[in-house]
Amino acid sequence: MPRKRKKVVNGNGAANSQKVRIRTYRHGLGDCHLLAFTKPDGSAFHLLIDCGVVNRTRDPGPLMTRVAKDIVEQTGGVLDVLVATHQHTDHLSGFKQAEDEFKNNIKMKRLWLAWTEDPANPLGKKIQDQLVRKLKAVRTAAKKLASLKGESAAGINRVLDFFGAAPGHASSTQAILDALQKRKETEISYHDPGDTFVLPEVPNVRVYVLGPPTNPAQLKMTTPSKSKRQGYEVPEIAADANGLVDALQPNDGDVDTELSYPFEKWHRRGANTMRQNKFFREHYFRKGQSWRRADNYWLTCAEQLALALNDFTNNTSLALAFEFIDSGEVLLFPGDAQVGSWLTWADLGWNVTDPNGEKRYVRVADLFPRVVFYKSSHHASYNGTLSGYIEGVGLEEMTHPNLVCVVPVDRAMSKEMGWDRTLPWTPLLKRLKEKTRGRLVLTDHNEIPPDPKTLDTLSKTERERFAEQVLVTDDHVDYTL
Amino acid sequence: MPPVAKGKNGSTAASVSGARQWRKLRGYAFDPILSQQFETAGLNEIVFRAPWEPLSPGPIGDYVEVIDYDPASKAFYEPVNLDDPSIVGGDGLDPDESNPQFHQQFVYAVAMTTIRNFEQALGRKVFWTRRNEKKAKDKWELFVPRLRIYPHAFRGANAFYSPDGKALAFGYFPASGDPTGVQLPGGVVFTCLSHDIIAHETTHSLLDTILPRYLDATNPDVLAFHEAFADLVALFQHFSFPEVLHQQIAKTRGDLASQSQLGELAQQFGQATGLYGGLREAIGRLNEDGKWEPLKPDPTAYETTEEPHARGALLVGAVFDAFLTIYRARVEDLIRIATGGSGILPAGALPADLTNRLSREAAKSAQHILGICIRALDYCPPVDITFGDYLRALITADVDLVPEDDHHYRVAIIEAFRRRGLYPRDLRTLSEQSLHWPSGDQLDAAGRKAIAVLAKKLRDLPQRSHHKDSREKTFEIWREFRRTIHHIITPRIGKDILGNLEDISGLVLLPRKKAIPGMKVSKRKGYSFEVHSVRPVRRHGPGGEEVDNIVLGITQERWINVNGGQYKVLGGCTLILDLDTLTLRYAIRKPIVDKQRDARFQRWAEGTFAITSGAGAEIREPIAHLHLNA
Repeated sequence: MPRKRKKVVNGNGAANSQKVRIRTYRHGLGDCHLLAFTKPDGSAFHLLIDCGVVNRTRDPGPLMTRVAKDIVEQTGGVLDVLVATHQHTDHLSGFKQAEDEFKNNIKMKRLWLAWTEDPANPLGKKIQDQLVRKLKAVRTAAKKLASLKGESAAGINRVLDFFGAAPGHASSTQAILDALQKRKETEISYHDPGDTFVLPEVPNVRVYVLGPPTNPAQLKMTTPSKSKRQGYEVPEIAADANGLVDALQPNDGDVDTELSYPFEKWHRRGANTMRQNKFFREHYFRKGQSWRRADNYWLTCAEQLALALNDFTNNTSLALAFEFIDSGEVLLFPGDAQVGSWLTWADLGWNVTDPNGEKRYVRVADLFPRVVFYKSSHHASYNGTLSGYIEGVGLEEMTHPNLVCVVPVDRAMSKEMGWDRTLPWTPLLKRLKEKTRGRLVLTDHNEIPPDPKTLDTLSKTERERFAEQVLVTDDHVDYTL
Repeated sequence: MPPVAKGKNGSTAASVSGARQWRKLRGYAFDPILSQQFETAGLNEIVFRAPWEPLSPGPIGDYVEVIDYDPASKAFYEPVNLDDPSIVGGDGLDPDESNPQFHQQFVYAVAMTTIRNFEQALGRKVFWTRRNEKKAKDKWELFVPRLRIYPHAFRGANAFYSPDGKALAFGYFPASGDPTGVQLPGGVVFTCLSHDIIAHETTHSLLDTILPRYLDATNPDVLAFHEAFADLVALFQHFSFPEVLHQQIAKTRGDLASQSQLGELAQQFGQATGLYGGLREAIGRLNEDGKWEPLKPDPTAYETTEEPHARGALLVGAVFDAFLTIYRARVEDLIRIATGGSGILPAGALPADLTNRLSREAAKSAQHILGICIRALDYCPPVDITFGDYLRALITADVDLVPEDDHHYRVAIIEAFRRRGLYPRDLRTLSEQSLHWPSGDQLDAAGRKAIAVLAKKLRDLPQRSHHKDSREKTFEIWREFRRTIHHIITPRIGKDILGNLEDISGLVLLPRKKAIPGMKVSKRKGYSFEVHSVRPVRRHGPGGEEVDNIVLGITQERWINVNGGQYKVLGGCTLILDLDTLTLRYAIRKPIVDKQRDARFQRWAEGTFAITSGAGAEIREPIAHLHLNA
């Protein structure tokens, strides 16, 4: 990748009337967004959302250090807010990989996390504990599968890539979050959906917290379905999978696994004596019959569990909307929230009193038509953006004429990891392109950024505006408002 | 056994040698976990009749082998010996959730019931899909005698058919203690104790033996069809037990006209696992007052629903609708007789005689629909089926068997499909005549001659598949015929003696001046094709005479590029030959070169298929994967 900085789109990124500049880094498959809001005194208020790249990225240290160095340069070493959306490496790894920069050269004033990360929240704690145990089980299954002849754990590993190192390891997402939470200068806050507040020091910006949902059933809902009730039944069972987890983690603390066995002890003959049993010797172990043995079926189920945990973790994303009070324009940063989270947003409502004393009642249905910048959730996966759905408020409600969408993707990496068919999902990209009338920017280096001149569905003014607003370099995409 | 469709009560799987014809085995009428919710919990037992065959412990018979290994529990369970005199005498073991030997008996009983229903409807023996063993030189496609069944294969709320392992794997799972869960807390739920789940999975494996290319999802309907067909067999097989319906019909009393009770019963299928829920979506749902109400068919749903289960539910809903219409017509007179002509039933419980007769009519209607659904498989294209194709197959197959539609079954079916928008898009009208597959009349003289050569060669096949031969012997004869057909066609390619058979069949055989990209050329310069099935069908003609037909399935492949990935598209043709007149009766075609199908495939491949197929890697267990993505 050439490192020379070049302007792909001409534009003036630093106009005086600028309200915010959003810098999205083009470092690979992962999220890192630096928002610089203009304070009333003209100086910038810096808010960083995530900093990470997927586990398979080669030589991520220097890559993320370069990102971190740019953050230092842009912010002068002070982050007013850090938002860590959820526990996936492609959102958090940079804090470890570029530890020196973040530790020594960046001061973090505030850390915003989702309620699910709050150790004092009993449900959040329970969720995290169960996630850890189930992930352990999945890792055990992957190991067992890899050791079986003719089997491969590739299916599970492509999911585990998002989780990164095992819990307990210094570079695990939990360890990274712990380290961030231990920083002395940082004020930590945990956020529930329904929270709203004015951005500190920037009275013209109001923050709305959309997700993660507080209803465990919605957290587990990850697949689009025509009916709410149908949608979460199956993923929920898969996500629980307690019997499987008990089998994979039999000696886990004080968990009693006896009841997970289907039959009483006297019915169970030890598998280690199967070869001595005439029936099994003749029918199961017969020569030439190994192709139809069932030794691995139960382990391959762990892939589904891994997927469910992965989607579940995405749904714990802290999803935020930033509203400019005077103009009404909205920036939407949903993290990697999936359908279950999106569906709950339609029910949210906020009674707000703005700094000018005005009282309003705000719903997501009021916010979405005003979205001018959408950070595509979950790398434009099929279930990361609510679209074509009967219920809820989603992409179809984003009707603002100036809508721009930025998608953090790296399709070469997706292909390498076995996610190329859904990350990004072609029909969603097509729809995003239609909704933005071409103002869709993929961070992918294979993608040629849209040339405003060719966007003939835009008016001349709109083309000019887009050319001024979006600046794409090798390292990042800058959007200004 | 020769491919003779015996009378409605005959069975091709039953041995004629022994004195016994049936093995009676007791089992659950409804999922035991579900029965806890029924007022009828005490009556949750029915007797299955499996064709008699000598069994070894397992049970292991001629068609299936039950092997009870539970790797997740690091345990195995002793196999049941159903030939033990004390077990035979007691009609099998007592239904008991806590006894693994009963589980083995139950999966055997339901799987054999399903197999018997297929053999009865198709009029021929069932073989499992052949195993391709690359190492064995002389044996290019191996006979697999038995379907393997693992009743406790894994821990999970799922069950699947593995085409590679020729096996059914059933999961079990602890009922969740989570208050948001759908199942009752406590205890273990076994998928191998549900008639519907066992019948559903067995049907996947049986459908695979007849139409193996239906595991290749080449359009939104294909996997949806696999799911829907498995649901249909499970549902109507279940309803073919009069005992199952008896209680419900007694309860319906004056409400028979709406048949909501039947719908409600169907709706509860698979509820315990949250799987197999297609029916619930398809037929109706509980309203806010907790009362079931039928769902109004939505003619646009077919255009907008692509997820395989939801789409399959449309087909299930259509056939269920037709069943209700047929049942209603069949009992109209009974109700009139019972009510002195008023058709309005008096208050209070129905007379026991009437309930019995109504249940029998319902069970008979279910058995008929089941037979119609299965027989239609012989009239389906070998690849890339759509629901519209299936409607045409249903109609054509039924016309061939029952030319006079006295009970208006076909009208009911067409009407139900039409209301859901499930019809072929390339027909001007939906009359019985236009839905009927076109006959082979369009063949020119050369084409007719070529067909006559094929048919003549195949004349021996029905005679050579003997009654008393083992299934393996019959399998080998059929395999030999497949090879013969290939050998007859291949040297004729390029000699200009196939006439317009290419046009009629949609196959591409002759070499082209400009090569067709993505298609393999054979050694003889023509394009590669596979004779992937040869199936004899013997039916009775309108005058009662026996008519011998042969169903030939021929397929071809072509590779196309979608979004930078290489995808296989399939084409092919089902040829139905009349062995007596040596003519082509039907050519059911999916031309291998078809721009419209390519465009549809591309939309599907980058859209829903990208999701349901998961990673770019090949999916080894497509059905398992489909269920997991439910």
